[in-house]
Amino acid sequence: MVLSNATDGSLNRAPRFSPQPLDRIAAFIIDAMILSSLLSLVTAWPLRALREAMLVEDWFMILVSLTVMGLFFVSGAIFYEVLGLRFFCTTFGRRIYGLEVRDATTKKPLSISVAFLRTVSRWVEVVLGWPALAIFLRADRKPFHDRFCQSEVDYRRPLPLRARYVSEPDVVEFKIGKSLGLFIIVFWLSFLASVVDVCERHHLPQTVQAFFAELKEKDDDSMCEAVTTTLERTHLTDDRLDLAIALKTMDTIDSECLKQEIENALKQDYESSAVRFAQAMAEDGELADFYLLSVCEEDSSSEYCKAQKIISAWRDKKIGEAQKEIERSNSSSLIMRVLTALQGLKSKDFKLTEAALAPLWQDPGFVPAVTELKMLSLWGLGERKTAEELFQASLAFSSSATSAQQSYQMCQLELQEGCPTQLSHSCGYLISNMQTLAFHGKPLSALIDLAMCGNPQAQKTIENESLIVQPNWLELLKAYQYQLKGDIKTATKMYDRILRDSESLNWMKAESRLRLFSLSNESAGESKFYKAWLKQDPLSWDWRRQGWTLLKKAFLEKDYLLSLSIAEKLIKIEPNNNRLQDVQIIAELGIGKSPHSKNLKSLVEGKMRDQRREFRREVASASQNVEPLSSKTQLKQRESELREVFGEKK
Amino acid sequence: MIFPFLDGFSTFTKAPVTWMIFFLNGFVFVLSSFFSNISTPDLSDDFYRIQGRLYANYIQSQSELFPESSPLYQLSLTSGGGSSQNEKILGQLSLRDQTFLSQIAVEKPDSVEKKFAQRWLARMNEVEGIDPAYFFGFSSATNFWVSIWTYQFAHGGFFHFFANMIYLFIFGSWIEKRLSSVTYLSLYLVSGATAAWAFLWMGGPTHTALVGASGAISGLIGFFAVRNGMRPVRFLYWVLPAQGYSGYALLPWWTAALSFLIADIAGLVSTPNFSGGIAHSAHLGGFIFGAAFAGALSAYPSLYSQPSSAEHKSR
Repeated sequence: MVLSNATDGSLNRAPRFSPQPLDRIAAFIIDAMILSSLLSLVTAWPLRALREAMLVEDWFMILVSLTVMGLFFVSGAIFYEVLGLRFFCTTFGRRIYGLEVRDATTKKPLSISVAFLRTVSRWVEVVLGWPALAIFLRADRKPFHDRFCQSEVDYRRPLPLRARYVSEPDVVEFKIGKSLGLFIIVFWLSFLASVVDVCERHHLPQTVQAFFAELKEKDDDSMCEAVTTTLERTHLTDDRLDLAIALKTMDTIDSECLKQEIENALKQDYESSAVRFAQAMAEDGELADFYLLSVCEEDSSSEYCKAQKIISAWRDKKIGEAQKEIERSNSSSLIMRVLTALQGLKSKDFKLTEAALAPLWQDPGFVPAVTELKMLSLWGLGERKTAEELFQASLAFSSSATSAQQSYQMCQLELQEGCPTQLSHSCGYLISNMQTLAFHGKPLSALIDLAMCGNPQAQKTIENESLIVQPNWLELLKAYQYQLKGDIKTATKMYDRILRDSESLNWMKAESRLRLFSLSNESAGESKFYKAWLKQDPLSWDWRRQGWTLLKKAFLEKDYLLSLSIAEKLIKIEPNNNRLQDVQIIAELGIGKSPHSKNLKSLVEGKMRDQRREFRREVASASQNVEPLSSKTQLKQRESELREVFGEKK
Repeated sequence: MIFPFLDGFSTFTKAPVTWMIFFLNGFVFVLSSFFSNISTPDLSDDFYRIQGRLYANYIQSQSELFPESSPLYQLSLTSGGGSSQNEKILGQLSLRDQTFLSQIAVEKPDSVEKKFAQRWLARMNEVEGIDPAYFFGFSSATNFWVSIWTYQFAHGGFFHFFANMIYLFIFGSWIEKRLSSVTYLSLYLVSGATAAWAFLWMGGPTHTALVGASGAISGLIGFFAVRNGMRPVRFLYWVLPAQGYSGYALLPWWTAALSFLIADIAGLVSTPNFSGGIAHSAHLGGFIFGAAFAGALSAYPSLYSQPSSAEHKSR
């Protein structure tokens, strides 16, 4: 509302009237532009130092350059305004719009101290967006800094041509002020929300990465203890569970460990979709399905519910729906995607793995877990050359722990198809870098597997006594050499000593226990080892190795029915393993099946490598004269005993 | 926002050379966009990161060239831990290291790293051969005497092209009216060439391609600043969306020239060598040449017709 167009240069002031609010805002904008331009020059050097220091994480330099920049900014902004107000009652911006700042009572220029206080309080208000609200909403149009310092903004004298006074805010200005206020509130709320969101998004992957860094050197059995101890530092139940789920997803902890975390959450009467999902992961079979279905009941907007939908859609063969769910879901959710990818791997749905990994793969950054999953899915999809190339590319940039894990996984895939005579890149890398990789436990077991299946390079590597990387490591190798040479007595003694030695790591003890069992006279089918194996999680690392030991033992004992049973269980995990198929054929023949029976014929003629087909035909042909192990009555009796042991209904 | 508007935009008949330069830039821009969309495997973040990792390995293996206390060595250590930003920076920096570029493919025979480096170099050659920005761009890897002219007509994106063309029209058409077409074209092209030379001289050899007309246009600004240092010229300003807070203002030209210089000097000082983006050194090189050209032209007043005060429009 324009009340006067004073252009006559009159010195009479109208106390109720104030200069146009837009003049004051425009003056501020111009001052800010001039200041930012000048300060950009002054702070250029510390800004460069800051950028360089941030790259190399030189915290001292970061602190110094930030302090210098802050000082330049604050002092520059203050001096520009304080000196301008004290000596000229104005600044460049205000001068352009003909404005002055004076003492409200005496109309004299502000003293240095008052000008300083006014400037500091004004900048604090500016950061909050407050002054603009005050000049639109308050009757006296005075922001806090003017009232605090008893100053006022007025046009200079004589009045400039553009001077226009306004009285108390009118309806339109109230509306502008309120809209501005609303905008400021929304801005700060959204800012806070985005900060919380960013923190949440970054917190979990970072913590998980930190976990992995901490847990890299630990062996499997002590992992749970270490994880639980570390999780004690996290107080929020959801955070703890999220981390535990992530670690289970990466096979860093086992189901038992996850169950401990679930119990911990349930003790606090805490139920959420994360708990349900964790329960689904910790269980098998129908119980897992039941928990999985109830994930969305707790929170239909959670990441776990999204993962559940994807997994369920895929299970129901609604591939298109699953892919849409994956596309709809938040691409930054690493855990959800890795979970889904892993689900795909476990159920041999490699396309699911590919779909879940696709957005992560666009920016892989050689994230070890993602790269590993990608390799495995490529292998599963038959793109073995690409998988090998990816392995090679990843090696150049991986830590030894990552290389160990990846080469182990790749070599295992190759081992599943039979004993490699010509080593691939992954198994070759594993053998030639064993000195470094042996620290990480798992590669050693792959090396032993390779050596046991008769690979000469692996056997030669094991003979290399310079591979002393952990206590009892050499002893374990020597014991194995004795075992190979047939000196079972010495080998048993050595394994036994390793088992009892407190310095031995858990994986060594597990390995020794397994070897001792394989060398013992105990029958495979009646051993406690076998009963314990049946109760174990089939997806755990030890399960497969133990299964193979049991299978070998049962096979050597000519217990073909047990061999067949073990082989059938193993083949669910390793469907493409030719060695298992061979065992199946021989075991089927062993229990008296005709080589012309449908199942055996399909096994012999089925999808397999060419070089094995001939071998199997020979076995099938030679087995024409194989006598069945037992009579039909004996077989039935044995079968019912075994079914009892398996806990299966007849 | 404040913006020199001078005489505004001139028609083709009044500033034909400026329009021709615009058409040429536009043609190259459309060509670049077309080829970029159909075939360019551009230098994506991942590509830079791969370079960065290779370069980090190289730095760590060359203790004589990069002692442990050197910033690059420290940077190479941080890049392995998953710092994608640092990897990208190292990737960009690697383009400036001629020794690395010449040795990377021959180091460590039969290693995985070598195979990866070969793949990277092949990709690099592919990009340089296909991407119009690299094809026209100026760098240590390109033909100096050809690319020093061609880079002035290529742009990195629409806004780069748009902003440069606005400045070209405002300053170019104003100067063209006061210089002969040949002198004006010479000023434009040689300013651009000087800018490119300054870019290499100040930043060191690099495989990062320099593109854009801004170096040449900075020459026009430098020329204008010297010829009109104290004269008031027309600026377009916009402070608030209300009547009386936007329009034209007459300000002495040196205020705007100073703000250009401040922005470029601040940018140059505050930007570490490895950061990409605006080539402040090229801007400054072009500006200085334009200013020097204007000074030299004082000896030949017949080549330049002084603007009369009536030519300046008031608001």
